[in-house]
Amino acid sequence: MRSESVDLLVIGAGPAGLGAATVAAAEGLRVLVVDEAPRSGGRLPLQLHQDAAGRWTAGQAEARRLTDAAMAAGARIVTGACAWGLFPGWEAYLAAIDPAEDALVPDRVRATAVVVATGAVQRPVALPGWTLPGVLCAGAAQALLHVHRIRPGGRAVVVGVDALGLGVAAHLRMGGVEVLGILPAAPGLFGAEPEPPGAIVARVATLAERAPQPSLRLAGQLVRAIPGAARAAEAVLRTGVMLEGIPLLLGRAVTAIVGTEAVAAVRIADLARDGRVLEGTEEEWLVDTVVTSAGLAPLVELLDVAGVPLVHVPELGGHVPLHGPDLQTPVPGIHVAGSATGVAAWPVALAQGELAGAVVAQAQGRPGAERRLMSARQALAEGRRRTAPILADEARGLARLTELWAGR
Amino acid sequence: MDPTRIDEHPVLGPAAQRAVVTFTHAGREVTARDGDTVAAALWAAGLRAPCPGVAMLYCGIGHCFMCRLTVDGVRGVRACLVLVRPGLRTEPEPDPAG
Repeated sequence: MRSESVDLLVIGAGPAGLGAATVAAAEGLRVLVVDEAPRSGGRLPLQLHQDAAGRWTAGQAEARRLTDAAMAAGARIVTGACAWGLFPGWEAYLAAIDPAEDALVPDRVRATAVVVATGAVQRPVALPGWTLPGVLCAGAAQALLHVHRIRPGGRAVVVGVDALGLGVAAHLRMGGVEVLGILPAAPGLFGAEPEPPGAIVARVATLAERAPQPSLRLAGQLVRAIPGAARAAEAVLRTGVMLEGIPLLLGRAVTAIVGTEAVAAVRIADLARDGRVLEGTEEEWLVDTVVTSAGLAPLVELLDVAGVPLVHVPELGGHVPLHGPDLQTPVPGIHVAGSATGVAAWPVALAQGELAGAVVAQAQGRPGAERRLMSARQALAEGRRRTAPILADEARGLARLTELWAGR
Repeated sequence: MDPTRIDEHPVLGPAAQRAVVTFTHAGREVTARDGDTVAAALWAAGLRAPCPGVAMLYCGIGHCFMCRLTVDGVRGVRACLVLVRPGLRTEPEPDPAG
């Protein structure tokens, strides 16, 4: 058994984990970062960002910068390593993802402190046919497009009218994929409630102000221009509004994904005002690829096995670890950062990681940690002010979390 | 030129030149590019399913376990997390739905 001991183990090499590692290593702690993926950066390399002026930048460059900073500070990063257990002490058990890399991954890591920065996972869209080859979560499509430079398909629809769905539709088009439309999913197999077209319009309209990207704000503005209650609007909802060349259809929905060996078509139906499918309106569109978006859920399994209480805060993405303002948990030595704490935009995740790293360094008596702790607290508050939240009701979720932490 | 590859991208610019890597899947030779994951390489090669009707790539980030393959004789390896290398041998799982 190959075991090693470190002062800080960071699980997850996304912006949060890299931020924690950089600060803690700069304070002289022995830091090991592990991640399942073959490359560090978390979900950043998948992303394209558009600033307020409409300029696009690639997340890849940011991921490289954060990785280089962590390594320059002295942190060790082991990719291709799955952390499958976390036991009091603290002891983490690891396994190599690729059997050929078995000798490169320690089986067991003893750590004085652990920062769990495992991120979030995409929720599936469980329509009939959702397991057919050719159905991809938005993140898989982005990885193909932006990391591998592979066109996911020739002709696609995007199912899921939210910021990520609208974003990935634009990404597909930039990658040369024909996108027939962005549509909501019909009420689902697992008891998903019908969402009335009026409610979808209201939800997308909020993007007009809060979206960080001009193209999403445009979507919000276009949709806001649809008079939701007016009878005339129903035709508009069905024909849709054009969003940078892609039809955004809010009065129709995908009821099923069709195919025998792979995706061949999607079935589309009109929605009634209450969001239910109008019988007899179904038609089929021929596509080879279906890209879905249904939001993100924090990835909290390791925190659960480590004994960190989970609390249900839907405004933050679902079950999140109970944690305080300095990213501490009620379990001594276990800290959290990034989307594992509740779905967070990457600049906030990075600031959270830096704060968690400073807290760990201070707890281990590093002389410069106090100063870093102060500036990291300020940077996180500033980051939250400057960054548009991914989830619309984030502020309410954070307030709820503060209450739960105070009452623990 | 490979039509599934995005050689020029409006934001990312021209693709970096990457070496061609050859491996085998179910005994069939697959041509990939250095840096591809096995799942991405199979997708680009038109192999979207290890057997008909069962998706391989779904979440693409290691969570859904749909892309499990036998890699160099080891079962249950997530193909979206393993990079291609010359001579790699991958096989569909004996019971992909199980």
